[in-house]
Amino acid sequence: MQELRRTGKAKFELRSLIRWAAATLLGGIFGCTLAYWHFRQLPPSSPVVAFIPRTTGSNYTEDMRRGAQEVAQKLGYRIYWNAPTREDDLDRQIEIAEAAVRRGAKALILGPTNPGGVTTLINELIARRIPVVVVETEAPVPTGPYLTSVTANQDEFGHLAVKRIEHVIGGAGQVAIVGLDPGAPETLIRARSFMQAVAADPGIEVVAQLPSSVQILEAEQSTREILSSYPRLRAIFAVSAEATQGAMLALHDLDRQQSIALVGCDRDWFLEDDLREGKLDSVVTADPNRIGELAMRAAVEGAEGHPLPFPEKVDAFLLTQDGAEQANNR
Amino acid sequence: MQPFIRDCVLFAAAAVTGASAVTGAVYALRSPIRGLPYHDDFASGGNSKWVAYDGNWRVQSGVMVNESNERGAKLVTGSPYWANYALDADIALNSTGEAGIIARVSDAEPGVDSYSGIYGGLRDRDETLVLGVADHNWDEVEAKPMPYPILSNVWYHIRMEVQGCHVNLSVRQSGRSDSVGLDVRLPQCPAWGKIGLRSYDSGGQWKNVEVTALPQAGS
Repeated sequence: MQELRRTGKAKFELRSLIRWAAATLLGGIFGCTLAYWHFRQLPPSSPVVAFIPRTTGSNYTEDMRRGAQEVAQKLGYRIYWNAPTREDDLDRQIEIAEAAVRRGAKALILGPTNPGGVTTLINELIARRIPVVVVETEAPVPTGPYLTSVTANQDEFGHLAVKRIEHVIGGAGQVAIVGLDPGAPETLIRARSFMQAVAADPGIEVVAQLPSSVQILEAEQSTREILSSYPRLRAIFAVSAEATQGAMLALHDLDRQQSIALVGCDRDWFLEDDLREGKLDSVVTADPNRIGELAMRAAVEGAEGHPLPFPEKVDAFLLTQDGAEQANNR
Repeated sequence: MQPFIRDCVLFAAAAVTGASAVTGAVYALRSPIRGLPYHDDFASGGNSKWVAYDGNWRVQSGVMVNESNERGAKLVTGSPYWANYALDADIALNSTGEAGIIARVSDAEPGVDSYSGIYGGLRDRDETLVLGVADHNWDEVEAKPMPYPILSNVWYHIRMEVQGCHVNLSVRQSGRSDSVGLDVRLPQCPAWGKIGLRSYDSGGQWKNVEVTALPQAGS
């Protein structure tokens, strides 16, 4: 009898022990999980539109971002903003864009580093019905419900430059074009429109059209060659911001900037400061803020399931020293 | 005590203990002074504690060198929970461009301004001491002209103090006694983050990187 009682008590104690242990263990796990879950909680976030320009950190791209940001905020979207540290780093740009889409971006605004190099990426995104808005240059494939573009009206650049050069050099003289880059088709369009405008003006003679890449030093070298080959040169039309910088360096070193008018393109880098300081005559540009706004509006429309609007062009204008002094919006 | 009630009490006590333990551990790990003061004189030749986002970084004779002139190459280290601190370093530009230090860095990734944080550095293009805030974009707060030219391969001692949204940035050329400073209260700023080295266009050189805790703003 006593034996039975002892066995029963032992069983009861064992059962109690197991219950205590189980209660303690489960309680501990519950408490730890609760605390861990509390620290792991992430705030709810808005949908994202990825904006991948050629590069970031320059005046032009930052203005574009500001325009896009304003619209995105109003429409309840967030911007994922990133670009390669080199403007010619196509692989990195594709990598960044693909990663952004993988992380759930609802639409992509892309400033292609080399339009020909991103056609596969764009076609893939279109196939997956992810809207793409191309900025900074023309869309490399035909636009449609999932692809559109918002760009400066590149055709106006050449016309405005010719008008200005005519005015500065007094109607006649030798002119050179620098900065033609097949990787940046807008530079070719600008040069073409310049030639079209010049054709109507027999006083202006285009003596050279020199290629260069996004490398400023290359543009500087091209300009030096032109300066030594054409001593009677009266003006230079530089078709990109980088080419303008390069041409400016060459003119500065030769100390001839007083006699050769430099008309640049795109209000980027420090060109506005340089303009104010009289290092170049003028800059043909478009409003990057407006481009950013329109691009974001289009991207959000696409992200919400609507077909993208038709490609849009933002007017170009000439910025002279007086205009730069007034602008002051860096 | 009824067994069921006793089990419930035990369960609750264990839950509270577990939650407290996790919370305590998390707070200890997230302490804003954990790992401070921090010093790296790059003497060992290793840079394993640092994470590179672009650039071509290597240690050479106690100096961290970025040989790449990429725009916005960064090297980051430290605790993501450091909040109020002073970051000191000796810096030199390799060529034309910018080099400096970044504080309260979070969310860093490859790209020009692809991080959240506060940047202070020297820009030789307009010969200025630059202060700005990056949040995957660039917002230049102030650029103060230097009284003497910024030269490549010349050492400058830079110090950035961050306390709340109050930032004090100062720089002094090695061998000179006159320093240039910026004292700014930012309307909004990143609250905490790691430290880093950053260059833009120019490569750069850094040595004697030091972080010391500062008291909380207003205390």
